[in-house]
Amino acid sequence: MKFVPIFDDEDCLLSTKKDNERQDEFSKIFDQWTDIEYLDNFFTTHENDLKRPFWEGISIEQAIIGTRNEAIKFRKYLKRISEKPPKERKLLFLGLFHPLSQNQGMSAFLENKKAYGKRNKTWLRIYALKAGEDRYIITGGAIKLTDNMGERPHTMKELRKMETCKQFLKNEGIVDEEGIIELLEL
Amino acid sequence: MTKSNIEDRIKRYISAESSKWMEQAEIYENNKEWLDKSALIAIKILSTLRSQSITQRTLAENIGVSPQYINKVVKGQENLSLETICKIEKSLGITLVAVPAYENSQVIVDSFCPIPYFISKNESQPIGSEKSDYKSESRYQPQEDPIAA
Repeated sequence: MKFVPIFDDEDCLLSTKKDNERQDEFSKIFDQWTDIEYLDNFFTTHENDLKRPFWEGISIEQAIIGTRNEAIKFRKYLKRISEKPPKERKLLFLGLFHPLSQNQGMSAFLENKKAYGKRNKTWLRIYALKAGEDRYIITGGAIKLTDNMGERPHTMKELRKMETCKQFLKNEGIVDEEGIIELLEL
Repeated sequence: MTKSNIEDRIKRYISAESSKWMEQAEIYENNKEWLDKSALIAIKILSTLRSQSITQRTLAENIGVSPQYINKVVKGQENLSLETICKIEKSLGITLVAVPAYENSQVIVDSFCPIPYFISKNESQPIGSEKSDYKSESRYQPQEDPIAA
């Protein structure tokens, strides 16, 4: 596993990249969210989730168009952040990323974070670890149609990816249990 | 382990290569107009393939292209030629691109006439077929300006 800077070398936003893969996780999710064939397969597989009252009977075609448009809007927003001075960027990222769950507490190895897409009823999620005061490591993203991540294999996979990244940081000695507690107390 | 230690250690694992994300964003911005249309065409093709139970491979065979090419088309990132669009339309029996038809009447903007006027299609004739076509006064009769008069 490697970490690649997303905007520039001094950036606070990193993405994980598997050694055997062409793309980093951050590029991959935006590629998927704008790939019509990928979205068609995804929404065909999860057609029953789309029928939940919360999504107001949206069709597969509308879901594809909506996802692509939102991903483009989201990308534009992130690109605008990237053009800000580093100090302002950090503040904007602080507002963008929210705790993944309210009950992570001090037992968390590193803090799990999520960012939402750019519309009111959004199903787009970016997942990250907050590794340091101002640094976010993107581990992936998903189209989340259900209430809990554990309900579907593709969102479960995102939870596992966060855990794998944490384990990597621990195994490589980048952080240790002692360090984490110190970090969380800052 | 201090905060600066953690930062230093993370930095050692940051790759020299950067993410392709920014490149993707710029490609989209520079090609937005046709990429948006290509995406809509891809949605229509995939939804038709699904409803007619046709595979991408069959469509490729029917129109004489490779399955890999059709796969690029249905990703919504291919700059399609009119020839390919027409072949897909014919094969699937659908319309992907429509060009607005000429209406029954045409608006004629005459540089000598302040108000555009309409002629019906039936009355229209090839430009330059009559001598009067070259006379601006043939259609526009200016009113006498009462103030100037």
